[in-house]
Amino acid sequence: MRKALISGSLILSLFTAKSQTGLVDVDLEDVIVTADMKKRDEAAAGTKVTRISHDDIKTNLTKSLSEILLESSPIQIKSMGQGALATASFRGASSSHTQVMWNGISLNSPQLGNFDLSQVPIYFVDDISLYHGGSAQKEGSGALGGSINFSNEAYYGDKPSGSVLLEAASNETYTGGLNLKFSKNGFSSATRAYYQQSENNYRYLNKVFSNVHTYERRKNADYKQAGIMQELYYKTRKGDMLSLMGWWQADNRSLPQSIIVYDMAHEKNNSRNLRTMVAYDMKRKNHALKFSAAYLHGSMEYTRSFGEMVPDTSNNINSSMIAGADYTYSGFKNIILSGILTYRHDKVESDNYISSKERNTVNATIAASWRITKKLHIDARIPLEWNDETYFARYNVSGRYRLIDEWLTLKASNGYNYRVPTLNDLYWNPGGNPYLKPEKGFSSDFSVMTEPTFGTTHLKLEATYFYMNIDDWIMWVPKGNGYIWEPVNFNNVISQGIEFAGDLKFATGKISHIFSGNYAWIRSVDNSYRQEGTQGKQLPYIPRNRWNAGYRFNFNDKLRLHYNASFTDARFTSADESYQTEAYISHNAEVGYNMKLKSKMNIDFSVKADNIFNAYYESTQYYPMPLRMFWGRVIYSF
Amino acid sequence: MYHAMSRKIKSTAIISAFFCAISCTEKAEFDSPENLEDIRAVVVSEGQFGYGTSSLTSLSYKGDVEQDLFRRINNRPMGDVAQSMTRIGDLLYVPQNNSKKIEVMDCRTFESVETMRINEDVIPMYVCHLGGDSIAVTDQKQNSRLIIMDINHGQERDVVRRTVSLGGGNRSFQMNLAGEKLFVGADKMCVFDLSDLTNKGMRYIRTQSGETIQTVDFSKIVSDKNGMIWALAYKYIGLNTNGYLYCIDPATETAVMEIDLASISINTWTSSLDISADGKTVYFNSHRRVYSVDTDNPQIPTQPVISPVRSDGRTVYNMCVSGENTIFLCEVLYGSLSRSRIYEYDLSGNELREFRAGLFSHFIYFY
Repeated sequence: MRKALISGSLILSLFTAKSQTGLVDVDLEDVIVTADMKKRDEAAAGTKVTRISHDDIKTNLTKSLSEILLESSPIQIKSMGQGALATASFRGASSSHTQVMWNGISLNSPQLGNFDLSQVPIYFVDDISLYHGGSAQKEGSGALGGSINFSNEAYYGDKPSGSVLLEAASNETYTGGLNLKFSKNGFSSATRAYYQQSENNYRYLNKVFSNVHTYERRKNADYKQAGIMQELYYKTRKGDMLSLMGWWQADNRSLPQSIIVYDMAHEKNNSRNLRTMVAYDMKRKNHALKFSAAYLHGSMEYTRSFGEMVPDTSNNINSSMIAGADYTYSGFKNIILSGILTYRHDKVESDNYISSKERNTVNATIAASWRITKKLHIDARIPLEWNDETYFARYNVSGRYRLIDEWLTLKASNGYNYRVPTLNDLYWNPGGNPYLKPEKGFSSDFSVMTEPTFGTTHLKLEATYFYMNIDDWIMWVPKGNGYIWEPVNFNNVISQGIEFAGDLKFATGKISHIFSGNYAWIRSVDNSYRQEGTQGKQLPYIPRNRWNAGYRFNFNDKLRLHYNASFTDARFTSADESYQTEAYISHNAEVGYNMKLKSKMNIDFSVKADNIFNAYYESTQYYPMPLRMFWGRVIYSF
Repeated sequence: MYHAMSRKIKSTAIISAFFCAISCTEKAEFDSPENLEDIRAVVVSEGQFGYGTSSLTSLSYKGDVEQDLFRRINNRPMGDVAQSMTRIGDLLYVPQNNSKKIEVMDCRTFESVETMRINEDVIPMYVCHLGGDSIAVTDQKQNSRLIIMDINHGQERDVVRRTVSLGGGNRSFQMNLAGEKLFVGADKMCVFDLSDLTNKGMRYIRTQSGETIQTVDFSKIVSDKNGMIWALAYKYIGLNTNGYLYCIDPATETAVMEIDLASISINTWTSSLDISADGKTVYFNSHRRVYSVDTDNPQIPTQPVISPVRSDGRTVYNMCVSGENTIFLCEVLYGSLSRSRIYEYDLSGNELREFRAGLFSHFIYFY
């Protein structure tokens, strides 16, 4: 069967390759121009894309991916606190409906279906893009809500470049980082190393355990995180690019408990992850071909100990092998055709499974991108997936129409997507349900965008309405006496809402200002009749309203100020809306000064305050977040 | 230049106004219960394990139901996995087993009086007043301990005075104070003299053949009008269990009567025992079928007193008898987070009322 699929895909690729040659207009929306290479944006023409600015990335170098997304995007982050599990969800979907891609490779755990964003130090990231919507992702299924794409970029500067970073925070967090880049004769290397350790003993106000509200310090939330990433690139004279990347990371963290629970035991989670990939990009006239392969290996040891007793331990090891080819033909006038073939093998060995489990997935996608006129651009994709002897088909059609040049652009997309149950959903012991069906559903969105420029002032505003209708939504519910949970397929979940995003940039002399903001209103409701009193109710942990807004001030690339506020509405924590966490706003500010030394050397000082107004808030119910915290950082770069 | 400044000012003003307009958030507040005057019963619900959603639901004599009393009155969660309610004077004691604490509140206003934190590795279940300023709290943990606590509220003190080991593998549940003796339902039912609440002073209750008695996990230990102790219990026969009803003489600390309930399916943790207000009749349940036994003339019951039939997939999580000799069934729907349903029946099997309570309702306290 596998042979048949591979053969079919090759035939398809050959078919698409047979075509007339012709020039294609390059649509600026579709191309990200980086220092020395061009890569096609994977998002379809009508997809809403949020790009995290390089300024935001630079400001948050020692934060995790989850923290920067909370401040700078409209998506929902559910976090157990600094250094602890953090997951993201788009548009009222769940965290397992968010695909997290590193240089085009899905990092989602085959066990859990989601990805822990706290494991990604921003120091290891050059570019972050969010694709909103259920069918925006070109490769693989599962992104019912959207996808987070972070990537690295090859360095081709004249001289070696690098930086050394040191940071300390008031919750006894200490961070060090090293980054070295150089290139010569088409060869480029980038090495990054990162270490962070934290007692994470921040102060919070306990308002829930008793009537006496007391300031306490968080216990059992300490963690250590170390990682190293090596990138090697080689660019041939023909412009082909060979990329080799390796990323090893270790996380040792204590798992703090909810403050409504009083458990004398200590829980720890130690994980090790090795992620490697190799890719070869080549382009010949109208043909572009990319081969890639990746190997991901992760181990996680969970221990629960009490006093002198022998700790309970459980181990989970998962490994994934991914290989793929992505072919693009741009020989037709105004039409780009592409075909993608990927194979993925996942294997999980877990103390919580009766035996080790494996999964094979083959994905074949054909796609066409048709620029009908200079104003109208349409994309269509049909991905087919074979997943352990089960076939699925998806589709996505999207388009963009520039109605009035930069003043008014309309975008729309519609697609059908699905997500297969995770291996934990199927095989976790006790509770796994091998009879689960995949989640599947339609999603649509419509956007209006304006992006005018007046001299040095640039404004971008985008408003989007989205609608998702997902059948067989998987949810874990209590079984038996309530201490054992099992996943079941719920009937139907409908999520719809409105998103606004805006940026205003202008400069006067040496001073530049950037205002940015995001707002999302989401109504994500359970339409099933399995549970009494939950029909038509908002899904747990999906806030109806969320916004964030930021202001950046920069004087002559020396003095800078950044202010950011983010609001998360009350979130129900039960399916019948009986229980909720409070709404909150967190205000953060940073002041930085960049001192230029000789040549290209700089020393950058910055001080940051998080939660300036001491807001009490819980990212997850009864997991209090820190009151005001301070960070101080020095970066030496050359 | 002027226009540029003007644009800047406008932009700043618009964004500032936007911040101001939506930055005022209100703290979540709960409406106060309206009817706390003529409370007939309070339902204690465990809530979702680990989520701090244990709750109290009141039922008035008029039939009014108020949900989530504690949280609405005290503006904070009551705790995680509430187990039971015991009244001592004007105060109610509600152990929260996954919070390792006992919430103490006024029995009329439900205002919190004290949160008694137990800094021990225990799972607090039920409270029994030992007299004076002491209570005993049972512990569901294997190798459980009886926790002796100080209830001098408002005073600086160690709330846990001491703990008493109940022996290896012994989980403990409901208690009954009969005279100067404390009977403890457990994997091996035991008894203490109040004057010697120590491990050395502990005796196991035994059958006439000398076996120990394993009581049904959450079932009451009750006293009849003659002062005899009744307990619902079970034994393992191979991999299966068989239910028994024991009548225990508190003086000899042995079971004077054993009623074999082989013909009735007794569940080891959802069957319950209770007694009529006059102490003449004990009731126990097998799922929705409730049986009675006359304490003066005990016989193996052949027909249930009530046996309602419903096909809603719910399970009876507890059965209680009210002071008016009506039977309450707490029914939960496993496989969902739906609220529990509470049904009241008269002894003729007529349904008198049905109302909803919290998640996993497990105990009813009658005023």
